Amino acid sequence: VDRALDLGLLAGALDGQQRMPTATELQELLAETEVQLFLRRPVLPPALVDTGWFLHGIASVDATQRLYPLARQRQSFVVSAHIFDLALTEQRSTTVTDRLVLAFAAAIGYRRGDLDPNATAIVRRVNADITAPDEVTDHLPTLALEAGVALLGFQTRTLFTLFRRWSAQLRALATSVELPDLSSTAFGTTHAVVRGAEHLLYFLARGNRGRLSQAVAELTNAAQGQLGPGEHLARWVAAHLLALAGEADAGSVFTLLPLMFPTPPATHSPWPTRRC
Amino acid sequence: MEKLVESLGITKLSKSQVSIMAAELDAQVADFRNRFAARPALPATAWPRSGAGVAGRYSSAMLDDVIVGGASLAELLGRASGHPGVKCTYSLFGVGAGEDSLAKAVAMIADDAMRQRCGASAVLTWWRERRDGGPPHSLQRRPAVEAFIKDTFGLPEAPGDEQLLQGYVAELVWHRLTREDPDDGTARQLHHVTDLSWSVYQQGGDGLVVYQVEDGRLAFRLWEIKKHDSTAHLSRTVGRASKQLSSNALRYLAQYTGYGSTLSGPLGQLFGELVELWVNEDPRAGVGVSIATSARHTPKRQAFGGLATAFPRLETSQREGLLVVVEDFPAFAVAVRDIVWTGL
Repeated sequence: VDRALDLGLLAGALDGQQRMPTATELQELLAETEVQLFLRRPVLPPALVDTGWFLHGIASVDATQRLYPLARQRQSFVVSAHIFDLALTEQRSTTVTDRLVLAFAAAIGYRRGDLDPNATAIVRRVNADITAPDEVTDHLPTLALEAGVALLGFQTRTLFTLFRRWSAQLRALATSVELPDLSSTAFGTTHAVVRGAEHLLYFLARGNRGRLSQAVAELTNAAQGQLGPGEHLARWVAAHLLALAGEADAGSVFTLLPLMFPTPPATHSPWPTRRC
Repeated sequence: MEKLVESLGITKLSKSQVSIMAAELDAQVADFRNRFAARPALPATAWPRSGAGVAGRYSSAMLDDVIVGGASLAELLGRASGHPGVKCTYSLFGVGAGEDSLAKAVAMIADDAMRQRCGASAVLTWWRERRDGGPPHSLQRRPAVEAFIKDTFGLPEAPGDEQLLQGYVAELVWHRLTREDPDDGTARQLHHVTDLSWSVYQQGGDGLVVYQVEDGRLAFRLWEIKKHDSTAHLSRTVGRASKQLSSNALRYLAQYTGYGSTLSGPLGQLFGELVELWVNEDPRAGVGVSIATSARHTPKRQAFGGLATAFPRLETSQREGLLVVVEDFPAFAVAVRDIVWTGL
């Protein structure tokens, strides 16, 4: 909380944007909201929510565009994550999708803002919304969000089982319609997010660089809408997991300490060129 | 039924009379629905063709399915002149469209929904064959087809919510009209339309449309799409949609930014700038509200004033309204669902 209320951090994230609250105003909004939440009178000011999404937008611009300094993007992730954290506490987030959207936005902001324990705490709060029913079609509209949020929690004790089950269910659905996977269908992006997140899990947990390449391929196609129509939130999740994969690759102990965790060297970069 | 009877000024009615009236009403409703659903399917050459037939070649909502060999939806519905004096650009479709045109429009929208859902899977072929009078699906295939239909449409034994269905059909109609890009008298060129969600249970912007404007730069319009089926004036629905758009715009745009900015070229750059353009009310940013409704709700006065109320600092050209009026929109939506179900 102290860090999120730091005036320098807020000023860095907002960078003087005239149509948004000033750093001081934002600090006051955050402090007042936290007091109200503590008093169990949660009312999230619309200006605070708008600021959260504005900063999430700034933070989310693909780094290769070099539109904003990386430091500002990181600050924006941290501040927006804190706002979404508060929003998640507020009782108005009533639908599963609402909660998962806020949880993903908060958790990815914390992870990409180097506040990993906060991300884990966020995911624990929505664990009940991450499900694996017998019929995968019962939760297909939210499955990509569930996969994204689950991965960001990094609770490896349950994650492998969960992803194995989701993958098996999606494979079975694809087989039933005579496809190797669900690409090109309305569920194609979700399928790619689940597979990409599972590959990323194996890279993060076991340092398997082959899995990193597979994760990057799946998530790139998913983010760029190559695998099927109509999955806005799945593409949003894919784009952030893709960026996280890049950041994890650059900062992974498996990359930094290859001698301790020897894996076969990649024959080429796992990172694709951008699509025209 | 009791409320209907009261509204007709009848204070006493026996149970048998109620039963007779209910049966007559059911028959009238069924007859109306059948006027759409019982039409023969369009010949195969009239169906939209999509580039989505090969995995990996899926073109994200670009102009990949313009009608081949048949009328466009814009032609079927017909453009009517709007009401002067509205504080937004305004398009009106569907007024006076005949039964044959509406039947074709229903079939077209049903096929759009299934093409979007099934993609290159065999399900689309199975569904179309069954829709066109083919034999029932095998016990193995039927669950697979159901999996691609049941969201929003529901299944005959467990229909989906009709209000949500109407909203979904309103979105399908808007999406097709937008991609067809009927001449609106402006010099701008359609550049990109985001995909429509296949499920009403997903959230996010209803649609983002990108145009290349006269100076060669890209501009966007963020759309909210609603159905109107209420005794209240249509302007109430426009006002609600406008407020919703105003409240949620930054969330929608921030999410679009995440994946859109991974694209290269001017489109990727535009996605990277979305939230800044929005908060600065840049001329390249704008909004739209689309309403689908029934003929009896056609407004006699301008109904899109809510857009100007919600976005007072935008110029008229940055606010767009689209109104689609068919004879009975709830029946239109149900007819779409019924055609989808004929493929089960």
